[in-house]
Amino acid sequence: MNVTELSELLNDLPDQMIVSAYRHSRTGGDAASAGLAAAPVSAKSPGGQIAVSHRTAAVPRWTVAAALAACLLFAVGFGAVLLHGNDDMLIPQNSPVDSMLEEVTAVTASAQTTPALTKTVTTQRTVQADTTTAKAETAQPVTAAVTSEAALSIETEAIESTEEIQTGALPEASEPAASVTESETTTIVTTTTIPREPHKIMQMTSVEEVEREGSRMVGEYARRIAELNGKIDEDAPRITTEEVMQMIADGMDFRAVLQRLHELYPYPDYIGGSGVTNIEYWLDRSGTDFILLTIEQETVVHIVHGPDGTGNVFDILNKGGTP
Amino acid sequence: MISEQYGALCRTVARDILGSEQDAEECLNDALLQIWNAIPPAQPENLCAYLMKTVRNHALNRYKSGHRAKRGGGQQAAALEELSELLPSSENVLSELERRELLAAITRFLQSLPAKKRNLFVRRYWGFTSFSDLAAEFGMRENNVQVTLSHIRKKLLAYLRKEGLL
Repeated sequence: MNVTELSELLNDLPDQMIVSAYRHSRTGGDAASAGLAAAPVSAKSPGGQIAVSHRTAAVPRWTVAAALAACLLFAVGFGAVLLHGNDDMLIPQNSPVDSMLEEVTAVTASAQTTPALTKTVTTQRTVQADTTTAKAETAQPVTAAVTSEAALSIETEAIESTEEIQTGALPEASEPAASVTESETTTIVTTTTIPREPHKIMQMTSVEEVEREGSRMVGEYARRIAELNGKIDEDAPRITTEEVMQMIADGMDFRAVLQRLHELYPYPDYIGGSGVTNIEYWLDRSGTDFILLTIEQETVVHIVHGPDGTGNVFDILNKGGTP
Repeated sequence: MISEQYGALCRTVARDILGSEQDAEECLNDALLQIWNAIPPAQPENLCAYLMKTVRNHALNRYKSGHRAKRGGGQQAAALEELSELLPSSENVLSELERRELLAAITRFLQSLPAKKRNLFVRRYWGFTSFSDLAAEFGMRENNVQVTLSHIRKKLLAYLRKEGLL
C-alpha cells in the first residue's frame, strides 16, 4: 500500500468520527463526543479556528470547579437557613445545569456537614432529575435533545466526583446517571435515504457512469466496473444461495465465508456503505435478489426486493450474526 | 449558507493540508462549487462529514499539484509516512474487499480508544494537522502529542496483526 492508497483509505473513516475529532479537539471528552458528533456545527470563531459550541461539554474543568465551589458556599448558607426552618427556599432553580450542579453540591455539603439536612436536600434533587429526564426524552427537536444530553453529561461528571466524597451516604445519587444513559442512546439514530436502483447499473456502458452511481450510493459497483474493463465476462458465474448456505452448514464462520466468497467471486456487485460495510453479491443481473454481507455486524442475509421496490424478504443465513 | 455553517471546519481541514489561508480559501470555494453541482443527486447521510471529505480531497489534489505553502507543507507526507510502516507493503495491491476489511479494523480500533486519543489520531492522519497545532488545540505539549501518537500506532500495529491483517 502506498501513501496515496493509505490517504484514500483513511478518507473513508466513519463520518461521525471525523466530525467529532474536529469539533471536540479542545475538550477531548468521552462523555459528550459520542452523541454530539452528528449534530450541526453552530459556533465558529472569526479567525477560522474551530470554536467549541457551548453545548458540547466544552465547559472547562476550572469552570465546573468554580461553580461547585460557589455552590458549596451557597449550600452552606442554604443549610444554615434550613436549620432555622425556612422550607420556602426549596424552589427549583432556573437552569437545569446550574440546578443540578447546585443540588449535587448541596447534597455533598449536607452529607459532610449536617446529617439532619440530608433527607430534605435529596428530595429536591430527585424532583429535578425527573424534570431533566423528561426533557431529554422529548426527542422531537434534535437540538433540544442534544442540549439536555450535554447538560446531563456535565451532570454525570459532577455526580461522579460528588459520589467519591459522599462515601455512599446517599444511594439516590446514582438515579440521574441512569437517565443520562437512556437519553444518550436515543439520540444517535441516523437513517439513509439514498434510493437503490440496481437495474440501472447493468444498463450503463461507461466506467465513469458506474463510478458516479457508485459514488452516489457511497460505494463501488465492483463487478460492473470489472465487466466494463474487460476483467471478467458479463456471463461470468454468479453466486447462488445454496452455495452460501452450504458454506454456513459446513460450519464456516462469517470471516471464512467472506474469504471464501472473495476467492470464488473477487468482484462483488456492490461494496460500500456509510457507517457499515455492505457487500452485495447479486444472484442475477437484475440486482433484486442478492446476498448481503455486512462486515461490522457479521451477517449474511438473503434479500429479495419486490418488483415495485417494496415487500423485501430478508432471510438471515448465519444466525450467529446480529441483524 | 453551507459556507456559513460549516465554513470554519472545512477551512481548518484545507489549511491543515495546504498550510496557507489563501490556498485554503480557494480550495474551499472549489469544493463548495463541486458540492453545489453534486447536490441533490448526492444525498449524504452526514452533510458536515461529506463537506469535510470533499474539501480534504480537493486540498490533497491541490497539494499534489504543487500548491504547497510555507506552513503545513509536507505534513501530509510526514503524517502518512508515520503510518505507512504499519500497513501492508506497496507490492501487495489490496483488493477492494481487503481494503474495506482493513478500514473496518482501523475503525474498530479507533472506536476502542478514549475520545481524546481517537481525535488526536484522526486529526493527525486524516487531517494532517501539524504536531504544534495539535498540541495547541488539545492543550498538550508537542512532545507529548508525538509520544501519544507513537503509542497509538504501536497499539494499532498489534491490533492489525492480531486480526490477521498484517
